[in-house]
Amino acid sequence: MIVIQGMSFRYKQNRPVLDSLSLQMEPGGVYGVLGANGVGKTTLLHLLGGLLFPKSGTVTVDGHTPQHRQPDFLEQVFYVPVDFELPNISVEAYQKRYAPFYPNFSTTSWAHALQTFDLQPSMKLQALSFGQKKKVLLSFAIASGCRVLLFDEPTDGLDIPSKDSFRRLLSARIDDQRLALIATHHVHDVAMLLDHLIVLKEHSLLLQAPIADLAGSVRTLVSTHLPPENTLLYSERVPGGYHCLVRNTDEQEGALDLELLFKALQIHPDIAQNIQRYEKHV
Amino acid sequence: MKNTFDFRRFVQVCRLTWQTQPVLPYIILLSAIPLIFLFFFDDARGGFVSLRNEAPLVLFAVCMWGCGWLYAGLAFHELGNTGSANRYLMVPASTLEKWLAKSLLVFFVFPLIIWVAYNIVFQIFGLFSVRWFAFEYAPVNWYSLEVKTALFFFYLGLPVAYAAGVVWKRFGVLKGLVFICVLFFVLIQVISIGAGQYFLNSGRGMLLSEVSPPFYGSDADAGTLGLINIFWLLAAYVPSALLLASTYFFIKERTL
Repeated sequence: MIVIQGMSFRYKQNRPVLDSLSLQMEPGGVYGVLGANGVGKTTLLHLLGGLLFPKSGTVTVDGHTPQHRQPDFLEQVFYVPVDFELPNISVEAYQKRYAPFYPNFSTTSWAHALQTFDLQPSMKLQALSFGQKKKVLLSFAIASGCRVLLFDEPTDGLDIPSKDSFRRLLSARIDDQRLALIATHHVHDVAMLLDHLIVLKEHSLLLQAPIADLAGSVRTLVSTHLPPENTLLYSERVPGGYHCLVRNTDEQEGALDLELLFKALQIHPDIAQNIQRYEKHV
Repeated sequence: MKNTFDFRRFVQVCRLTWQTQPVLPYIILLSAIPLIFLFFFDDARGGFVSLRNEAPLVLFAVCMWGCGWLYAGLAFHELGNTGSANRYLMVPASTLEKWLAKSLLVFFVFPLIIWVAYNIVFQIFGLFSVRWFAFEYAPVNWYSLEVKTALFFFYLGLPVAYAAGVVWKRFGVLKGLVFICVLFFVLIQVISIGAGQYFLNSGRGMLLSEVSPPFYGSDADAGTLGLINIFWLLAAYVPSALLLASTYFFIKERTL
């Protein structure tokens, strides 16, 4: 559904933001994009939405070239940015204004999402808090019926119950025809949603793997003692012991803390190659 | 880029464009109405109003130029910040549909609103002035050369303001310079019209001749008039048309 081949992008300062990036994403999945600040997560979403144009390489989304911004492409892609501006109208008027542009917009899903987020259609957007505005936008994205949903820090500004509501709403909406891409630093908020992980480092791809495969090859554990060196990939001290990333040699069902994995990858990027080797081995 | 056009979607875009149009020109238009009344009443009270008074036309022209160009400059206000630009660029419609919808409002709908608003004000003034001052302005002859000239300058400057509004974020200095040049040019024309120096009845029917700068006079020879026409063509018509066309490409190529 999304195919990126050798894509590079740089802003005017000539500093590369994304360099020869190649990725492939299939429908039916929720992809999480992790990366340090300035590594190009938001830029990647903008490139996929046709809001920026690649300097080299190609991007296709559902067979379309995003930078052409053709209506049939835009009808199938909804982007929830981290910084947004909503007009000074009611929630209901917002839906009436923009929903006609999305042929698969579901008023039932919209009403359900608003109800889940405890929002009233008569509420004025300008009178809402940032978190409430975000919930309106998330509700619209989920109800839009778009095949590709792009989220930049979707849980930013949401309270704890709303984060849970967002996870439930999105997971109910993603079927084998749709794809969601979530760029975030708050990986704990969306960890349960993700089934694929993409890690960017130094403006290029460090790791792309299904979460299930990752969990089959590595796992995280909290231990009072450090595990044997031949299984330990990364550890950090926590109160009462160590938080460790280890090889899942015995294929145990165990938790995989994506934040710890991300930290490990930032410090020891070679772990990514090891993980992929373990995957093949498993 | 393949640019599809779908009439149903275009109507939706027009509706959206109408709903999201800039409010400031309307506020200025509304605030101009009391000023027009004030000017008319002072003029009517003066007792020295000439039989052929240009005040209605001048006020109409000033109102239309000021509000119309401002409206054109703000037409793409969504592109002014990242948040609203995101939303505008991702509205599922082609660039052509978005551009046509904006252009429709800028070039036809808003000028029509100004014209209607001005006429209402003019008629209301007429009701009072006859009763209070036994005075009534002669109605503006909308087919006159003066009106055509005012409209000509209005539409000549409109693409400049339109394009300047699109490139505002990227070429702020350029916009400033273009605006100053246009305003300076218009100011000279306004002064010329106001001072009655503008020659309108030179016997030449062509619009090109009618808008020739006043200092050439009506007795310019054919060679001079030819040069004047070439000057206008290169200095005004072609740049104006190019600026209008450029607005389409600015939206098409606009990124965040």
